Amino acid sequence: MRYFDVVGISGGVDKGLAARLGFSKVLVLGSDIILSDRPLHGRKCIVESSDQGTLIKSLRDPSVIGIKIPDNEIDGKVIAAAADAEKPIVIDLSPLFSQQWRDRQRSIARLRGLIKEATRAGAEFIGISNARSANYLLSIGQMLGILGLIGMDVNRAKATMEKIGEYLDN
Amino acid sequence: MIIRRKSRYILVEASRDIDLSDRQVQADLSEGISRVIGNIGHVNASPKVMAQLNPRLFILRVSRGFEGDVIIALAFTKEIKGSEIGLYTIRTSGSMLRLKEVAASQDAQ
Repeated sequence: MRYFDVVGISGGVDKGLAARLGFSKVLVLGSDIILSDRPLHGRKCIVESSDQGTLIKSLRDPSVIGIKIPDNEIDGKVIAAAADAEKPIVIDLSPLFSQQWRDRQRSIARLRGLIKEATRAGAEFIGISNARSANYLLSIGQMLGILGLIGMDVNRAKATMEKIGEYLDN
Repeated sequence: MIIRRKSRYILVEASRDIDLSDRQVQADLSEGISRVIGNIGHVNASPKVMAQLNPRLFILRVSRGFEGDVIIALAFTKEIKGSEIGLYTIRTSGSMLRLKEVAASQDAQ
């Protein structure tokens, strides 16, 4: 099993720490993978846009690894399009750590709703910590625990951390 | 009759040096866990620092069946003694000796 995480730490995470956390590789958002509001032809990217049309259109682009739905809103059309295109929905766990408890509970409930709807539609996921500093990194066990908290079973949670590897190999 | 609970041990790495002999550090760690799993969860899990292997590595004992809750709680514990911190759970085992071996092998690498 090869597990991957994606972080927002410029300079990345040293290999020793990544291995201790249980990951084969920790990718850096901005250098290994780009977060963009539209497809970047030829560069691997995750598209995040509040515009439904842009998200659906970007799913057809081969450079797009997955899509990130702003504020994890449940948008049936986008979810169905992602499932049809077999492109994963990116589950970013970082907002859970930068909020007060009440907001955090709301975010967890919203993520649970998104995962429930997307699972029902047959969509796949990529789970990332998107840590902005070393204090916000997560180990495999913690990622699995949090993904479980937001409604994924263990096998699906593991698959979300393997998924990005398929795109790296291609 | 006293019910004897079986334990699980968690090897935890901190993102910065901490001194777990400091009562304030222990209290903040305990409070951080309680904040996530609640008072009843804390009583059930009974987390206890068993050993500090180096300034960043320590072993936490929890009641079996509650280790998952404590692992999540540690992820959400972001402040100890007024400074930001990250606590990563490296390995869980039923034996403390096994975790000490894992820690020793990491030091050797």
